Amino acid sequence: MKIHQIDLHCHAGKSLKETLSFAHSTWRRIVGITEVVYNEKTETFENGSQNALSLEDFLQLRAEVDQLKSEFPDMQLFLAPEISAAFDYTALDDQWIAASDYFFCLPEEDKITTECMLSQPERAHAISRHTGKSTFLAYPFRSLWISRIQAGHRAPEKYAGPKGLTDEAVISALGFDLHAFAHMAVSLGVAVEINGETYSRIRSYNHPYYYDVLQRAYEILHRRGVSLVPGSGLRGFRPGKSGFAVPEETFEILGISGSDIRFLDQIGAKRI
Amino acid sequence: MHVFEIDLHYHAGQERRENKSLRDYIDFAHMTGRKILGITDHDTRYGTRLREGPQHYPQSIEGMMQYRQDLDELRSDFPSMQIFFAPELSSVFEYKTMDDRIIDISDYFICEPASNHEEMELYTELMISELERTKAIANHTGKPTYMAHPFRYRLLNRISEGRTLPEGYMGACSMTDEEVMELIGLDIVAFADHAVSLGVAIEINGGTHYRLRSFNAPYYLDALRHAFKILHRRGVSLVPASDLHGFAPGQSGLSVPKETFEMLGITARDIGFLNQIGAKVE
Repeated sequence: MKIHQIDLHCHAGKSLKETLSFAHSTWRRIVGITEVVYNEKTETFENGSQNALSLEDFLQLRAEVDQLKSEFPDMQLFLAPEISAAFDYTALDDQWIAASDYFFCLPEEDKITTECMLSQPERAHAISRHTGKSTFLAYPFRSLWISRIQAGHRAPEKYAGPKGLTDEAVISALGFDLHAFAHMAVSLGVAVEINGETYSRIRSYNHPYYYDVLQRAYEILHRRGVSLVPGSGLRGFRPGKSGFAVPEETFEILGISGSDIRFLDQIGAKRI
Repeated sequence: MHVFEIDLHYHAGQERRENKSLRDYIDFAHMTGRKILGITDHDTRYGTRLREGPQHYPQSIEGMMQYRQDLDELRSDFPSMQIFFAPELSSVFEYKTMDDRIIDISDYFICEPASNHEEMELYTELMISELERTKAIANHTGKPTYMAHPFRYRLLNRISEGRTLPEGYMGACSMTDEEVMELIGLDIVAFADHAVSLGVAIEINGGTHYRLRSFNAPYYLDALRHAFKILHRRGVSLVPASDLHGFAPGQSGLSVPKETFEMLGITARDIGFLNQIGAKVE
């Protein structure tokens, strides 16, 4: 099975059927449908339910996913809430848990220290223990790396390309102890996403250094035994114009094939 | 100098996002490592196809001249950049009656080719005629001219019509010239040979790469790259460009497709078109 056929982070959008049709036409065969969720009992979202799903919305989405499975018989469909950093996961009750095939959690956006970064695999692990369902950590470096670039971190004057990027250079660029992060993720058994949208955003900086740092960070994680999962972060699309893709190139560089994605076993996905 | 530092197709005129100035666009180009920059805009935005609503410039030749003037006023603020002005001419632009003022303010031109849905022979004829048109514009204006995103709409249309990933696709190394020509529906060898004989350069466009990535399966981007491999092998001069229209730092913005140039073994010094426009390769 090819990596591009596995997408564990695909937003449902306004029409789930259209999204699934697009996912099918773009060769996705194991698809994790998601949306941001919020718990009315414990938090409010400034944007209201436009961008986030309440439990009732989520249960409706679950019903829709199940209903559409027969229309896409060669796809394996899963449903996984996107748990923001602010979401009180202890409030996930049996209804949420029963309706979810797995979970994934987002990193904190504005606290970027080694301590904070280490807390992220811990949180994913805690959600997994609370729910009894597998949980991965979505795009762990996105906000961190983009924030540092926006704050003024620039490519070295005479950047020599990825071969010249040492682990120390990557750790220095990202500003936190990536080795410790990897160790935490491995010890807790938390998988980490390689996210297509993140690559699209980083590519927009044009200079290859920013992309190479991200790529090398994943290489470090892989080398240290972290389980990696593919996700596009697809959020809307226009056929032939836009739509985030599964970042297959990174998995190829790392030598990871579809059969190596251990998270698939945890959610009961069958490789084609 | 590296290929990603060269971007000969960067929109910063009428299609600027509402809250962004020309300075913002050049700032972004600078911040993202571009050192040779071709600022452009579609000719259609300056009179041939009027649009409603607020515009950054009057939809007239005077508007395009103002755009050029704004650019000239900013040059000294970006001394490390070489900035050129190059209108993008649509496939229906009447170049024979082009106002001399457009020629005067332009450092080079970018020609957008037409496309059709015809079978291979007729599409190849069309593309060869577009090469001849590109050359004719260069001759008429006395300014260097290249062809933009040659396969974009043809390839996107054929994918949309149902030409899909082959069963058991084994990756870019398994691709053949015949397979790619069949997918695009173009005799790429004939097209390439004609481009070489006319001395017309062809663009490798970041926007096209972005669109093909959205199909998720790598096959389509592999096919595009293979098409450029054929062009390169036949001696076609290739130019790098993003085709950026808008950007939001950290979120969006098309980039120069440097990976394709790397795959082809083309460095900045190999970009012959730069000599034609007087750009200095550091």
